Amino acid sequence: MKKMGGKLAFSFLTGAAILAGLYLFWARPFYKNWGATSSEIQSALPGDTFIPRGALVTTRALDIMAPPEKIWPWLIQLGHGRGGFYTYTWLERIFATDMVNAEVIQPELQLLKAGDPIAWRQSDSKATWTKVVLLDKPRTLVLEGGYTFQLNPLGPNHTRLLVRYVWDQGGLSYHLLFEPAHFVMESGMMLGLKRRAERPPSPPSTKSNNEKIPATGPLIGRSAPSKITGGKP
Amino acid sequence: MTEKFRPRLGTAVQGGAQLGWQLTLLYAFIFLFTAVVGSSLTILEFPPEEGLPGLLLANALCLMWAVLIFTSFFSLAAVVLGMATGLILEKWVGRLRVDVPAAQGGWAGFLTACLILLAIQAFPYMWWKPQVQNIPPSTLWFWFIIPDILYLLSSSMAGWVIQRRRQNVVHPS
Repeated sequence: MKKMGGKLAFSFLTGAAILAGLYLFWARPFYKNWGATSSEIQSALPGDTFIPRGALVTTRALDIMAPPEKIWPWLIQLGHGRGGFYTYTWLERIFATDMVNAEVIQPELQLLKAGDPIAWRQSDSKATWTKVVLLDKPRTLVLEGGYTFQLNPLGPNHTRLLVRYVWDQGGLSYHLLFEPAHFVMESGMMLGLKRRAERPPSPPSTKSNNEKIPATGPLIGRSAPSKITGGKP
Repeated sequence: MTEKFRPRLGTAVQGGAQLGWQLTLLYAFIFLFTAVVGSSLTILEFPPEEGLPGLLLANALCLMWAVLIFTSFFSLAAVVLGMATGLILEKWVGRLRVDVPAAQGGWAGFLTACLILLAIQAFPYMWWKPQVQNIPPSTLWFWFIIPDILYLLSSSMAGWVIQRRRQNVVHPS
């Protein structure tokens, strides 16, 4: 048993070393600005004025074969207790977030305006809330801290989705854990938006098969905390 | 063979530590496999226009990295828990008569695990009851129920093995 344990420990450490090498030297540079061109990374976005000095910024991009007007209703539904974040529901639920990701556009969630609160997950903790700071239909949604969603039309049925995420806290936990986990969830969200915007509209009869979200989530009719600090999805 | 039976605390503690670490690794691998396959299938369902292989690989590596970091922290806790369980179990099973069935050793392992779980989970539950009650079922299953079941099973098995090992040693009459 001792020999087997030693062998296992050696295999584990070897595997961990190989993984660390691949992660640090290939995956991290790849995912940091996944999909974005160098000009997109350097381009100015409307939310840049809200980015705190010294914050860590990632810019990710994805082509969506739909006009911005078709993506916009999905985009402004974002938020826990609203349309969700369109990413891996089962993974969100493992990490204490009772998330429901909408499969239909909810008319009552289309009234988003600057100053409205958005929850990352269910909690009364201030760190789990953010708020809309800029809204320019159907192009730009900026959340507190400069987290920007930009829809740039490239053709009648082709949009470039740019997502600029800002992390102003840094620290070891960000680099070790949050950054890779955030890429998994954010790329999942971008693909979730793409899937929803590109698919043909569901006929009314199939709507009952969609995952139901509460008609009134925690945000509706609920005032924002007096001071909202930046959180994370 | 006239080998005299002595309680082997060092072996039990070491075995407990090893088992704790190995079970944490196993659990991490099962989760990782599920997460990588599940998320890759979702990506493949609606892939990006370009860069699919890179996205799949980066997604898998990010999940592996995050799981590695989590596993490193949790395996430390599992090693300590395994050592404590091994220590208690060897003492407890050592007090049983050698000729009682190995199943009794198994029960001793089960009860040891129950008591330890009660000690480390019941009090935090009472303190943070409102927060715990808001946790979604998937979270409870992943972080508590499945690990608890694994711990109960492995501890029962360890108790059974210890008693069985005692019976296999010939004792001076």
